[in-house]
Amino acid sequence: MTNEPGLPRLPGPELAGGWMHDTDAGGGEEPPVLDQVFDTDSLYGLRAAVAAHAMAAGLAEGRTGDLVLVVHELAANAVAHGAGRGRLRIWDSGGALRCQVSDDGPAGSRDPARPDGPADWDINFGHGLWLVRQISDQLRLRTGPGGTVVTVIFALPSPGQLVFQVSQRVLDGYPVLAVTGQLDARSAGQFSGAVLSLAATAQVPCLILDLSDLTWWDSAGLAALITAHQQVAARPRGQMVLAGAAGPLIERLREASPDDQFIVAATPVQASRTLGPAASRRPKPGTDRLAAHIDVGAARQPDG
Amino acid sequence: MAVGADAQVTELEADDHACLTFGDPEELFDLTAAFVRDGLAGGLQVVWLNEAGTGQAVAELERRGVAVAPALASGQMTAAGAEGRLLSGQAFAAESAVEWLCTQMTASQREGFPGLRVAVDMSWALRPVTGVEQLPDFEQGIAAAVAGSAAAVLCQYDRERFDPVTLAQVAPFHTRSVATATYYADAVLRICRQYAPPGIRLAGEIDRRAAEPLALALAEAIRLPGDITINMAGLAFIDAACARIILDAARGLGGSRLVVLQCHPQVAARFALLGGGKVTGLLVEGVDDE
Repeated sequence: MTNEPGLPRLPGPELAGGWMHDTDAGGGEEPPVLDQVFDTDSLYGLRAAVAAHAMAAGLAEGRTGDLVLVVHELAANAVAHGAGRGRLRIWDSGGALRCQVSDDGPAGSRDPARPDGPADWDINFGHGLWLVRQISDQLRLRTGPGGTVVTVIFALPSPGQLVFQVSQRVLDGYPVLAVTGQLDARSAGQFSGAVLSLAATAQVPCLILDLSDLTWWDSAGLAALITAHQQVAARPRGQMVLAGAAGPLIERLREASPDDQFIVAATPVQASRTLGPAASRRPKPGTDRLAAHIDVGAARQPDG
Repeated sequence: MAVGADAQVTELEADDHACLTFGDPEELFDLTAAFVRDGLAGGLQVVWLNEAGTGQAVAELERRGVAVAPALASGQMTAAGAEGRLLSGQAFAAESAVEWLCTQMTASQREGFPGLRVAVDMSWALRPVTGVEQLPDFEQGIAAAVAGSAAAVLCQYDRERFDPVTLAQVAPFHTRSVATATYYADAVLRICRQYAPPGIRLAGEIDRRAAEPLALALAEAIRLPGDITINMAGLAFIDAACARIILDAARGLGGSRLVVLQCHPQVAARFALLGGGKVTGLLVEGVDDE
């Protein structure tokens, strides 16, 4: 399986050449499927329109919710930093939805004393625009006194993607959880359940996630991976290794959760080598084991 | 319609004749659960005449953390319909209904309970029941029976379905008025207090324009002791700004008590991505998609 640079997902569809180039004007290509102006009072309707188009284009509920959030954050920013209004256009081409939110800049933007432009569109950890970047497949932003244009790309799923499945095995004494297909709002719960039950029963507080057959994720999938990592890391000598994960996914995880140390390996076998002998990871009898069980609960709730 | 309320449901005491108006079933069940919970905790006998049917009524109470099974078994609690108690064969007579209440009060004393709480869903009065015009007489009779007694009666009126004239007619017979404290309400969003379990409830879609009422609702919920539940089961959308307001409020408690987020998987993911996993004392309870 190849992972072309710039392609967010694999095995993804071959995206048409057009989207790699900046086409803010959108001229000369097919018309947008949605072209709507908005202001502060029409954001609710804008979200509904985006949801409808996303589902019509083939995005499942979870990924649709991601697009709705992204467009909302961009539109709310445009309203705040523009003159109270903006414009949304969505193109459906080349196996992806390209969404462009633009505004004309703040009212009276000719005033040089007024700090506008890039500062208003900083990507600060935990804020709206930061979340937009974590959730979108691609983000491109151009801003200046005359206004801002933000473009996000959401890849569309190709038909016949693998159905979700999570399976367990043991490798060199380590539990291996293999995830096949899409890890999204619908399947994240099952994945999280599997991680928790493994944590409760495994002999060692480590986990190898085999993601080589993971084809698709949305924000729920991303969050589930981050949460799984945090839960395993909270246990004494706990360590999770991501095996066979695509480059863009690793990048996304590291950016989304910079405080967490994501350890990666190309294959489960190499992951096992990274962890070392399982025997050395076994909890000390009488102390660690008890702590490990409590720690599994601690991530969820204190024991009552 | 302006919602008047001079008391919180958690402030009701013996000899209160309270009028509760609610806007949707969630509010009714939440307020009733708090009323029942506090009554049982105080060793009182509790009767709830409701339209939901005993099975659903019990389920709604248990869903909100009020374990009523032991009380139902021992007779401390009764959950039943109005038929055979306030009504007889779909006919209503104020005198008989007041007599029923007095019988409950006497029996409760005889059985050794320190007090009695009765919650009555008045929705039976919206049906074609003969004698329903005696409703104000019934309320007058309740007021007389309850005054100076160890009983508290909570009359429950659906303000979306009862006409304003009827509500105005019955209001004066009550000593207290109760409703869910509401911080924001329009066609798209509702932010209100929740009483069972205590916290706040968000329904609809929320974004940064509701930041102020959200912050106020959180601040007031935090002022009360104990864990806080943020019920987002009915919330279809939350933006980054509002999610951060909730996370900041939880962070501010520093793990001294639990903040429970009840939400759908997609909303839970949003909180996780915004750093929720690192907030001590934050617990996410997934809600199934309907």
